[in-house]
Amino acid sequence: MRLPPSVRIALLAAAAALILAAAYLGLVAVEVPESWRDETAPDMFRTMFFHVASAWVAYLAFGVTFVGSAMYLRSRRLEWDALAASSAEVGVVFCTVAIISGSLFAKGTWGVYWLWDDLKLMMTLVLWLVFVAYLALRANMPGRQRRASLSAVFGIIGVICIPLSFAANRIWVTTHPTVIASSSGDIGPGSALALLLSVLGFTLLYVLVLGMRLEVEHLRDELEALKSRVGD
Amino acid sequence: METLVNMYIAYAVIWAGLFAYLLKLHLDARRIEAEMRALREALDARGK
Amino acid sequence: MTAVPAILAKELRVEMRSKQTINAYLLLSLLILASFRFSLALFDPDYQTLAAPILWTTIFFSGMFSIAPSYRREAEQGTRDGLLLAPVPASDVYLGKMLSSLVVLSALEAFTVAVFLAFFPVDVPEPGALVALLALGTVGFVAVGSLIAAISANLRQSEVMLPVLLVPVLLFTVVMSAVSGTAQVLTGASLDGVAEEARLLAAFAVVFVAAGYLLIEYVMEG
Repeated sequence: MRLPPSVRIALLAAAAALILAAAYLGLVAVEVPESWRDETAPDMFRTMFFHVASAWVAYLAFGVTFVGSAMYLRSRRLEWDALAASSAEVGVVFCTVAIISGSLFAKGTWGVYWLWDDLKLMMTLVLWLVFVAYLALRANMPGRQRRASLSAVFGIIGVICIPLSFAANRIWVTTHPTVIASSSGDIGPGSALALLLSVLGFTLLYVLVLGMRLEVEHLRDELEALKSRVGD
Repeated sequence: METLVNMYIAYAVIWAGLFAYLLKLHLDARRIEAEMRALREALDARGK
Repeated sequence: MTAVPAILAKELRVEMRSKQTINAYLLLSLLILASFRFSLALFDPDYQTLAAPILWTTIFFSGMFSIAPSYRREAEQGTRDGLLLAPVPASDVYLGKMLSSLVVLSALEAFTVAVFLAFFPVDVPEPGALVALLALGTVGFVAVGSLIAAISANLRQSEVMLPVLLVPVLLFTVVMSAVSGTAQVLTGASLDGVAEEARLLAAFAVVFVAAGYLLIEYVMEG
Protein backbone atom coordinates (compact mmCIF):
# COMPACT_ATOMS: atom_id res chain seq x y z
CA MET A 1 0.00 0.00 0.00
CA ARG A 2 2.20 2.73 -1.29
CA LEU A 3 0.91 6.25 -1.27
CA PRO A 4 1.98 7.97 -4.48
CA PRO A 5 4.51 10.74 -3.89
CA SER A 6 2.10 13.48 -4.97
CA VAL A 7 -0.43 12.39 -2.35
CA ARG A 8 2.29 12.22 0.27
CA ILE A 9 3.52 15.70 -0.46
CA ALA A 10 -0.02 17.03 -0.40
CA LEU A 11 -0.66 15.38 2.97
CA LEU A 12 2.61 16.66 4.35
CA ALA A 13 1.89 20.18 3.18
CA ALA A 14 -1.63 20.14 4.57
CA ALA A 15 -0.47 18.74 7.89
CA ALA A 16 2.34 21.27 8.13
CA ALA A 17 0.01 24.13 7.26
CA LEU A 18 -2.54 23.12 9.87
CA ILE A 19 0.03 22.57 12.57
CA LEU A 20 1.84 25.80 11.89
CA ALA A 21 -1.45 27.71 11.87
CA ALA A 22 -2.39 26.13 15.17
CA ALA A 23 1.05 26.90 16.55
CA TYR A 24 0.82 30.52 15.49
CA LEU A 25 -2.61 30.90 17.01
CA GLY A 26 -1.72 29.07 20.17
CA LEU A 27 1.67 30.57 20.79
CA VAL A 28 1.18 34.09 19.57
CA ALA A 29 -2.23 35.27 18.54
CA VAL A 30 -4.58 33.93 21.15
CA GLU A 31 -5.17 35.46 24.54
CA VAL A 32 -4.77 33.29 27.59
CA PRO A 33 -8.31 32.82 28.90
CA GLU A 34 -9.61 34.21 32.20
CA SER A 35 -9.45 31.01 34.22
CA TRP A 36 -5.82 30.48 33.36
CA ARG A 37 -4.48 33.95 34.07
CA ASP A 38 -3.85 33.55 37.73
CA GLU A 39 -1.92 30.30 37.43
CA THR A 40 1.76 30.38 38.22
CA ALA A 41 2.73 30.38 34.56
CA PRO A 42 -0.22 31.53 32.46
CA ASP A 43 1.65 31.19 29.21
CA MET A 44 1.90 27.44 29.76
CA PHE A 45 -1.64 27.25 28.49
CA ARG A 46 -0.27 27.84 25.01
CA THR A 47 1.57 24.54 24.97
CA MET A 48 -1.60 22.60 25.62
CA PHE A 49 -2.63 22.12 21.98
CA PHE A 50 0.30 19.93 21.11
CA HIS A 51 -0.45 17.60 24.00
CA VAL A 52 -4.18 17.31 23.33
CA ALA A 53 -3.62 16.66 19.64
CA SER A 54 -1.07 13.92 20.24
CA ALA A 55 -3.27 12.24 22.86
CA TRP A 56 -6.14 12.29 20.37
CA VAL A 57 -3.96 10.63 17.75
CA ALA A 58 -2.82 7.98 20.24
CA TYR A 59 -6.44 7.01 20.87
CA LEU A 60 -7.23 7.14 17.17
CA ALA A 61 -4.31 4.85 16.42
CA PHE A 62 -5.57 2.44 18.99
CA GLY A 63 -8.99 2.46 17.40
CA VAL A 64 -7.40 1.63 14.06
CA THR A 65 -5.52 -1.25 15.67
CA PHE A 66 -8.81 -2.55 17.01
CA VAL A 67 -10.48 -2.34 13.61
CA GLY A 68 -7.50 -4.04 11.98
CA SER A 69 -7.58 -6.82 14.58
CA ALA A 70 -11.29 -7.44 14.26
CA MET A 71 -11.23 -7.35 10.47
CA TYR A 72 -8.28 -9.74 10.38
CA LEU A 73 -10.14 -12.29 12.49
CA ARG A 74 -13.17 -11.94 10.25
CA SER A 75 -11.46 -12.02 6.85
CA ARG A 76 -8.07 -13.68 7.51
CA ARG A 77 -6.44 -11.20 5.18
CA LEU A 78 -2.97 -10.28 6.32
CA GLU A 79 -3.32 -6.67 5.14
CA TRP A 80 -5.57 -6.05 8.12
CA ASP A 81 -2.97 -7.46 10.46
CA ALA A 82 -0.35 -5.22 8.86
CA LEU A 83 -2.62 -2.25 9.50
CA ALA A 84 -3.17 -3.23 13.13
CA ALA A 85 0.53 -3.72 13.79
CA SER A 86 1.63 -0.53 12.04
CA SER A 87 -0.99 1.56 13.79
CA ALA A 88 0.11 0.10 17.12
CA GLU A 89 3.70 1.15 16.56
CA VAL A 90 2.77 4.63 15.39
CA GLY A 91 0.34 4.78 18.30
CA VAL A 92 3.11 4.08 20.81
CA VAL A 93 5.13 6.94 19.38
CA PHE A 94 2.28 9.43 19.64
CA CYS A 95 1.26 8.08 23.04
CA THR A 96 4.80 8.60 24.30
CA VAL A 97 4.71 12.13 22.93
CA ALA A 98 1.33 12.71 24.61
CA ILE A 99 2.54 11.49 27.98
CA ILE A 100 5.79 13.46 27.86
CA SER A 101 4.13 16.67 26.70
CA GLY A 102 1.36 16.22 29.24
CA SER A 103 3.93 15.70 31.93
CA LEU A 104 5.80 18.85 30.93
CA PHE A 105 2.55 20.76 30.89
CA ALA A 106 1.72 19.49 34.37
CA LYS A 107 5.13 20.52 35.63
CA GLY A 108 4.69 23.96 34.16
CA THR A 109 1.17 24.59 35.45
CA TRP A 110 0.84 22.57 38.61
CA GLY A 111 4.42 22.04 39.58
CA VAL A 112 4.41 18.24 39.42
CA TYR A 113 5.32 15.90 36.60
CA TRP A 114 2.56 13.43 37.29
CA LEU A 115 -0.70 12.98 39.18
CA TRP A 116 -1.52 9.48 40.24
CA ASP A 117 -5.14 10.23 40.92
CA ASP A 118 -6.07 11.68 37.57
CA LEU A 119 -8.25 9.61 35.28
CA LYS A 120 -7.13 10.75 31.85
CA LEU A 121 -3.47 10.56 32.76
CA MET A 122 -3.86 7.04 34.07
CA MET A 123 -5.86 5.94 31.05
CA THR A 124 -3.23 7.20 28.67
CA LEU A 125 -0.58 5.37 30.65
CA VAL A 126 -2.64 2.18 30.51
CA LEU A 127 -3.07 2.71 26.78
CA TRP A 128 0.68 3.02 26.42
CA LEU A 129 1.18 -0.19 28.43
CA VAL A 130 -1.32 -2.08 26.31
CA PHE A 131 0.34 -0.86 23.09
CA VAL A 132 3.75 -1.87 24.33
CA ALA A 133 2.47 -5.27 25.50
CA TYR A 134 0.93 -5.78 22.05
CA LEU A 135 4.25 -5.06 20.37
CA ALA A 136 6.05 -7.36 22.82
CA LEU A 137 3.60 -10.11 21.91
CA ARG A 138 4.36 -9.68 18.22
CA ALA A 139 8.08 -9.66 18.87
CA ASN A 140 7.77 -13.03 20.58
CA MET A 141 5.70 -14.83 17.98
CA PRO A 142 7.57 -15.80 14.82
CA GLY A 143 4.95 -17.44 12.56
CA ARG A 144 3.08 -14.94 10.40
CA GLN A 145 -0.45 -16.37 10.68
CA ARG A 146 -0.28 -17.26 14.36
CA ARG A 147 1.23 -13.89 15.16
CA ALA A 148 -1.63 -12.21 13.38
CA SER A 149 -4.31 -14.26 15.18
CA LEU A 150 -2.82 -13.97 18.64
CA SER A 151 -2.14 -10.26 18.43
CA ALA A 152 -5.60 -9.67 16.98
CA VAL A 153 -7.18 -11.37 20.00
CA PHE A 154 -4.97 -9.41 22.38
CA GLY A 155 -5.68 -6.21 20.51
CA ILE A 156 -9.39 -6.74 20.95
CA ILE A 157 -9.05 -7.50 24.66
CA GLY A 158 -6.88 -4.45 25.12
CA VAL A 159 -9.36 -2.22 23.39
CA ILE A 160 -12.32 -3.60 25.34
CA CYS A 161 -10.70 -2.69 28.60
CA ILE A 162 -10.23 0.98 27.73
CA PRO A 163 -13.92 1.96 27.78
CA LEU A 164 -14.39 -0.48 30.67
CA SER A 165 -11.73 1.42 32.57
CA PHE A 166 -13.31 4.76 31.77
CA ALA A 167 -16.65 3.55 33.06
CA ALA A 168 -15.04 2.07 36.12
CA ASN A 169 -13.06 5.05 37.14
CA ARG A 170 -15.58 7.82 37.05
CA ILE A 171 -15.59 7.24 40.79
CA TRP A 172 -12.19 8.89 40.89
CA VAL A 173 -11.69 12.57 41.43
CA THR A 174 -10.02 14.24 38.49
CA THR A 175 -7.93 17.35 38.27
CA HIS A 176 -7.49 17.04 34.53
CA PRO A 177 -8.68 20.24 32.91
CA THR A 178 -11.80 19.67 30.86
CA VAL A 179 -11.25 22.44 28.42
CA ILE A 180 -12.77 20.90 25.38
CA ALA A 181 -16.42 20.56 26.39
CA SER A 182 -18.38 23.56 25.19
CA SER A 183 -20.25 23.82 28.46
CA SER A 184 -17.09 24.56 30.35
CA GLY A 185 -15.65 26.14 27.24
CA ASP A 186 -14.06 29.18 28.70
CA ILE A 187 -11.01 28.98 26.52
CA GLY A 188 -12.25 31.41 23.95
CA PRO A 189 -12.94 30.99 20.23
CA GLY A 190 -9.34 31.57 19.18
CA SER A 191 -8.05 28.75 21.31
CA ALA A 192 -10.87 26.49 20.25
CA LEU A 193 -9.87 27.08 16.65
CA ALA A 194 -6.23 26.43 17.45
CA LEU A 195 -7.25 23.19 19.12
CA LEU A 196 -9.31 22.11 16.13
CA LEU A 197 -6.53 22.94 13.69
CA SER A 198 -3.91 21.13 15.73
CA VAL A 199 -6.10 18.03 16.02
CA LEU A 200 -6.73 18.00 12.27
CA GLY A 201 -3.10 18.62 11.48
CA PHE A 202 -1.94 15.85 13.77
CA THR A 203 -4.49 13.47 12.29
CA LEU A 204 -3.07 14.08 8.83
CA LEU A 205 0.40 13.61 10.24
CA TYR A 206 -0.73 10.31 11.68
CA VAL A 207 -2.05 9.17 8.31
CA LEU A 208 1.26 10.06 6.74
CA VAL A 209 3.33 8.25 9.32
CA LEU A 210 1.00 5.26 9.23
CA GLY A 211 1.45 5.08 5.48
CA MET A 212 5.22 5.04 5.87
CA ARG A 213 5.08 2.36 8.54
CA LEU A 214 2.69 0.24 6.46
CA GLU A 215 5.11 0.44 3.59
CA VAL A 216 7.89 -0.93 5.75
CA GLU A 217 5.59 -3.74 6.90
CA HIS A 218 4.66 -4.56 3.34
CA LEU A 219 8.30 -4.60 2.30
CA ARG A 220 9.15 -6.93 5.17
CA ASP A 221 6.48 -9.36 4.03
CA GLU A 222 7.81 -9.26 0.48
CA LEU A 223 11.31 -9.89 1.76
CA GLU A 224 10.14 -12.90 3.74
CA ALA A 225 8.39 -14.28 0.69
CA LEU A 226 11.54 -13.82 -1.36
CA LYS A 227 13.67 -15.46 1.29
CA SER A 228 11.48 -18.53 1.38
CA ARG A 229 11.77 -18.81 -2.41
CA VAL A 230 15.54 -18.57 -2.23
CA GLY A 231 15.48 -21.30 0.36
CA ASP A 232 14.20 -23.80 -2.19
CA MET B 1 9.54 33.09 31.75
CA GLU B 2 12.53 30.87 32.05
CA THR B 3 10.31 27.80 32.51
CA LEU B 4 8.58 28.70 29.28
CA VAL B 5 11.86 28.69 27.39
CA ASN B 6 12.69 25.32 28.89
CA MET B 7 9.32 24.06 27.76
CA TYR B 8 9.93 25.20 24.22
CA ILE B 9 13.26 23.43 24.23
CA ALA B 10 11.57 20.29 25.53
CA TYR B 11 8.98 20.49 22.78
CA ALA B 12 11.68 20.97 20.19
CA VAL B 13 13.26 17.78 21.48
CA ILE B 14 9.93 15.97 21.14
CA TRP B 15 9.52 17.10 17.54
CA ALA B 16 13.09 16.00 16.86
CA GLY B 17 12.19 12.59 18.29
CA LEU B 18 9.17 12.35 16.00
CA PHE B 19 11.25 13.16 12.97
CA ALA B 20 13.90 10.69 14.08
CA TYR B 21 11.20 8.02 14.00
CA LEU B 22 10.21 9.05 10.50
CA LEU B 23 13.82 8.91 9.46
CA LYS B 24 14.16 5.43 10.95
CA LEU B 25 11.15 4.24 8.96
CA HIS B 26 12.59 5.71 5.81
CA LEU B 27 15.97 4.07 6.35
CA ASP B 28 14.31 0.74 7.17
CA ALA B 29 12.45 0.86 3.88
CA ARG B 30 15.61 1.58 1.90
CA ARG B 31 17.53 -1.16 3.69
CA ILE B 32 14.87 -3.78 3.00
CA GLU B 33 14.68 -2.75 -0.64
CA ALA B 34 18.43 -3.14 -0.96
CA GLU B 35 18.25 -6.59 0.61
CA MET B 36 15.50 -7.60 -1.78
CA ARG B 37 17.43 -6.42 -4.79
CA ALA B 38 20.43 -8.47 -3.64
CA LEU B 39 18.24 -11.54 -3.18
CA ARG B 40 16.61 -11.10 -6.58
CA GLU B 41 20.00 -10.88 -8.23
CA ALA B 42 21.03 -14.04 -6.43
CA LEU B 43 17.89 -15.75 -7.70
CA ASP B 44 18.49 -14.57 -11.28
CA ALA B 45 22.12 -15.60 -11.15
CA ARG B 46 21.07 -19.05 -9.97
CA GLY B 47 18.52 -19.34 -12.72
CA LYS B 48 21.13 -18.87 -15.40
CA MET C 1 -21.75 -26.38 26.35
CA THR C 2 -22.15 -30.09 26.85
CA ALA C 3 -18.49 -30.84 27.03
CA VAL C 4 -17.79 -28.38 29.82
CA PRO C 5 -18.33 -30.70 32.80
CA ALA C 6 -16.18 -33.35 31.17
CA ILE C 7 -13.38 -30.89 30.56
CA LEU C 8 -13.69 -29.49 34.05
CA ALA C 9 -13.46 -32.98 35.51
CA LYS C 10 -10.43 -33.82 33.41
CA GLU C 11 -8.64 -30.58 34.31
CA LEU C 12 -9.26 -31.09 38.00
CA ARG C 13 -8.02 -34.64 37.77
CA VAL C 14 -4.80 -33.46 36.19
CA GLU C 15 -4.41 -30.85 38.89
CA MET C 16 -4.97 -33.41 41.65
CA ARG C 17 -2.48 -35.80 40.13
CA SER C 18 0.29 -33.27 40.26
CA LYS C 19 -0.21 -32.18 43.84
CA GLN C 20 3.19 -30.60 43.91
CA THR C 21 1.96 -27.89 41.56
CA ILE C 22 -0.53 -26.27 43.85
CA ASN C 23 1.89 -26.47 46.73
CA ALA C 24 4.31 -24.37 44.76
CA TYR C 25 1.71 -21.64 44.32
CA LEU C 26 0.75 -21.73 47.98
CA LEU C 27 4.41 -21.31 48.75
CA LEU C 28 4.64 -18.46 46.28
CA SER C 29 1.75 -16.65 47.99
CA LEU C 30 3.40 -17.15 51.32
CA LEU C 31 6.70 -15.78 50.09
CA ILE C 32 5.17 -12.74 48.43
CA LEU C 33 3.33 -11.90 51.63
CA ALA C 34 6.51 -12.48 53.60
CA SER C 35 8.51 -10.11 51.44
CA PHE C 36 5.84 -7.44 51.87
CA ARG C 37 5.80 -8.02 55.61
CA PHE C 38 9.54 -7.91 56.04
CA SER C 39 10.13 -4.88 53.89
CA LEU C 40 7.27 -2.91 55.44
CA ALA C 41 8.29 -3.82 58.99
CA LEU C 42 11.02 -1.22 58.69
CA PHE C 43 8.47 1.58 58.42
CA ASP C 44 5.56 0.83 60.75
CA PRO C 45 2.92 1.96 58.26
CA ASP C 46 -0.86 1.89 58.63
CA TYR C 47 -1.53 -1.71 57.69
CA GLN C 48 -5.28 -1.34 57.68
CA THR C 49 -4.93 1.03 54.72
CA LEU C 50 -2.25 -0.96 52.95
CA ALA C 51 -4.09 -4.24 53.41
CA ALA C 52 -6.16 -4.13 50.23
CA PRO C 53 -3.27 -3.40 47.83
CA ILE C 54 -1.00 -5.98 49.46
CA LEU C 55 -3.63 -8.69 49.47
CA TRP C 56 -4.71 -8.18 45.88
CA THR C 57 -1.20 -7.83 44.51
CA THR C 58 -0.30 -11.14 46.11
CA ILE C 59 -3.42 -12.80 44.78
CA PHE C 60 -2.85 -11.47 41.28
CA PHE C 61 0.74 -12.54 41.00
CA SER C 62 0.51 -15.96 42.57
CA GLY C 63 -2.83 -16.53 40.90
CA MET C 64 -1.52 -15.53 37.50
CA PHE C 65 1.18 -18.15 37.66
CA SER C 66 -1.27 -20.80 38.80
CA ILE C 67 -3.45 -20.23 35.72
CA ALA C 68 -0.59 -20.49 33.27
CA PRO C 69 0.04 -24.26 33.33
CA SER C 70 -3.43 -25.21 32.17
CA TYR C 71 -2.64 -24.06 28.63
CA ARG C 72 1.09 -24.45 28.66
CA ARG C 73 0.62 -28.12 29.44
CA GLU C 74 -1.13 -28.57 26.12
CA ALA C 75 1.54 -26.71 24.22
CA GLU C 76 4.35 -28.70 25.83
CA GLN C 77 2.86 -32.14 25.80
CA GLY C 78 1.40 -31.87 22.34
CA THR C 79 -2.08 -32.65 23.53
CA ARG C 80 -3.28 -29.58 21.69
CA ASP C 81 -3.75 -31.39 18.41
CA GLY C 82 -5.80 -34.03 20.19
CA LEU C 83 -8.02 -31.34 21.62
CA LEU C 84 -8.40 -29.71 18.26
CA LEU C 85 -9.35 -32.94 16.53
CA ALA C 86 -11.93 -33.93 19.11
CA PRO C 87 -15.41 -32.61 18.33
CA VAL C 88 -15.28 -30.28 21.30
CA PRO C 89 -15.79 -26.61 20.59
CA ALA C 90 -12.92 -24.42 21.73
CA SER C 91 -15.25 -22.34 23.87
CA ASP C 92 -16.15 -25.41 25.92
CA VAL C 93 -12.47 -26.05 26.48
CA TYR C 94 -12.08 -22.46 27.60
CA LEU C 95 -14.98 -22.68 30.05
CA GLY C 96 -13.82 -26.00 31.43
CA LYS C 97 -10.28 -24.76 31.99
CA MET C 98 -11.52 -21.50 33.39
CA LEU C 99 -13.74 -23.23 35.95
CA SER C 100 -10.93 -25.53 36.95
CA SER C 101 -8.61 -22.54 37.41
CA LEU C 102 -11.34 -20.92 39.47
CA VAL C 103 -11.40 -23.93 41.80
CA VAL C 104 -7.64 -23.92 42.19
CA LEU C 105 -7.55 -20.18 42.66
CA SER C 106 -10.28 -20.29 45.32
CA ALA C 107 -8.15 -22.66 47.35
CA LEU C 108 -5.12 -20.46 46.76
CA GLU C 109 -7.01 -17.35 47.83
CA ALA C 110 -8.38 -18.92 50.97
CA PHE C 111 -4.83 -19.83 51.92
CA THR C 112 -3.55 -16.38 51.01
CA VAL C 113 -6.16 -14.57 53.09
CA ALA C 114 -5.43 -16.83 56.06
CA VAL C 115 -1.69 -16.21 55.85
CA PHE C 116 -2.30 -12.52 55.30
CA LEU C 117 -4.38 -12.23 58.46
CA ALA C 118 -1.72 -14.16 60.34
CA PHE C 119 1.09 -11.89 59.15
CA PHE C 120 -0.54 -8.49 59.25
CA PRO C 121 -2.34 -6.74 62.15
CA VAL C 122 -5.53 -6.13 60.19
CA ASP C 123 -9.17 -6.24 61.31
CA VAL C 124 -11.95 -7.55 59.11
CA PRO C 125 -15.17 -5.87 60.25
CA GLU C 126 -17.25 -7.23 57.36
CA PRO C 127 -16.02 -10.72 56.41
CA GLY C 128 -19.06 -11.42 54.24
CA ALA C 129 -18.48 -8.36 52.11
CA LEU C 130 -14.80 -9.20 51.83
CA VAL C 131 -15.53 -12.70 50.60
CA ALA C 132 -18.06 -11.35 48.11
CA LEU C 133 -15.55 -8.90 46.66
CA LEU C 134 -12.86 -11.55 46.50
CA ALA C 135 -15.22 -13.85 44.64
CA LEU C 136 -16.35 -11.19 42.15
CA GLY C 137 -12.86 -9.97 41.47
CA THR C 138 -11.53 -13.48 41.03
CA VAL C 139 -14.06 -14.46 38.39
CA GLY C 140 -13.13 -11.56 36.14
CA PHE C 141 -9.46 -12.13 36.83
CA VAL C 142 -9.60 -15.82 35.95
CA ALA C 143 -11.74 -15.19 32.89
CA VAL C 144 -9.32 -12.82 31.22
CA GLY C 145 -6.30 -14.53 32.77
CA SER C 146 -7.22 -17.82 31.13
CA LEU C 147 -7.53 -16.23 27.72
CA ILE C 148 -4.22 -14.43 28.06
CA ALA C 149 -2.60 -17.62 29.39
CA ALA C 150 -3.81 -19.39 26.26
CA ILE C 151 -2.15 -16.68 24.17
CA SER C 152 1.12 -16.55 26.08
CA ALA C 153 1.51 -20.34 26.07
CA ASN C 154 2.29 -20.03 22.36
CA LEU C 155 4.86 -17.28 22.64
CA ARG C 156 8.57 -17.34 23.18
CA GLN C 157 9.44 -16.37 26.74
CA SER C 158 5.94 -17.44 27.70
CA GLU C 159 6.59 -17.23 31.45
CA VAL C 160 7.32 -13.53 31.39
CA MET C 161 4.85 -12.73 28.61
CA LEU C 162 1.89 -13.75 30.77
CA PRO C 163 2.29 -10.89 33.28
CA VAL C 164 3.42 -8.54 30.49
CA LEU C 165 0.14 -9.09 28.66
CA LEU C 166 -2.15 -9.54 31.63
CA VAL C 167 -1.23 -6.67 33.92
CA PRO C 168 -2.02 -3.79 31.53
CA VAL C 169 -5.44 -5.27 30.83
CA LEU C 170 -6.21 -5.88 34.51
CA LEU C 171 -4.74 -2.73 35.93
CA PHE C 172 -7.50 -0.23 35.50
CA THR C 173 -10.31 -2.71 35.46
CA VAL C 174 -10.20 -5.49 38.02
CA VAL C 175 -7.25 -4.24 40.07
CA MET C 176 -8.45 -0.73 40.85
CA SER C 177 -12.04 -1.69 41.53
CA ALA C 178 -11.15 -4.68 43.66
CA VAL C 179 -8.60 -2.77 45.71
CA SER C 180 -10.86 0.23 46.12
CA GLY C 181 -13.80 -1.88 47.23
CA THR C 182 -11.74 -4.05 49.54
CA ALA C 183 -10.08 -1.04 51.16
CA GLN C 184 -13.48 0.40 51.98
CA VAL C 185 -14.76 -2.92 53.28
CA LEU C 186 -11.77 -3.23 55.57
CA THR C 187 -12.55 0.15 57.07
CA GLY C 188 -16.09 -0.90 57.81
CA ALA C 189 -18.17 -0.46 54.66
CA SER C 190 -20.85 -3.07 54.05
CA LEU C 191 -21.48 -4.65 50.68
CA ASP C 192 -24.07 -1.94 49.94
CA GLY C 193 -21.44 0.65 50.64
CA VAL C 194 -19.27 -0.71 47.88
CA ALA C 195 -22.15 -1.45 45.51
CA GLU C 196 -20.42 0.62 42.83
CA GLU C 197 -17.25 -1.47 42.90
CA ALA C 198 -19.15 -4.72 43.26
CA ARG C 199 -21.27 -3.93 40.23
CA LEU C 200 -18.19 -3.03 38.23
CA LEU C 201 -16.44 -6.26 39.17
CA ALA C 202 -19.53 -8.22 38.20
CA ALA C 203 -19.64 -6.35 34.87
CA PHE C 204 -15.98 -7.13 34.24
CA ALA C 205 -16.61 -10.76 35.01
CA VAL C 206 -19.43 -10.92 32.47
CA VAL C 207 -17.51 -9.06 29.77
CA PHE C 208 -14.31 -11.05 30.21
CA VAL C 209 -16.05 -14.42 30.24
CA ALA C 210 -17.93 -13.46 27.08
CA ALA C 211 -14.74 -12.23 25.42
CA GLY C 212 -12.88 -15.41 26.35
CA TYR C 213 -15.73 -17.60 25.18
CA LEU C 214 -15.87 -15.89 21.80
CA LEU C 215 -12.18 -15.33 21.14
CA ILE C 216 -10.62 -18.57 22.36
CA GLU C 217 -11.10 -20.37 19.04
CA TYR C 218 -8.76 -17.90 17.33
CA VAL C 219 -6.13 -18.54 19.94
CA MET C 220 -6.37 -22.30 19.82
CA GLU C 221 -6.55 -23.02 16.12
CA GLY C 222 -3.59 -24.69 14.46
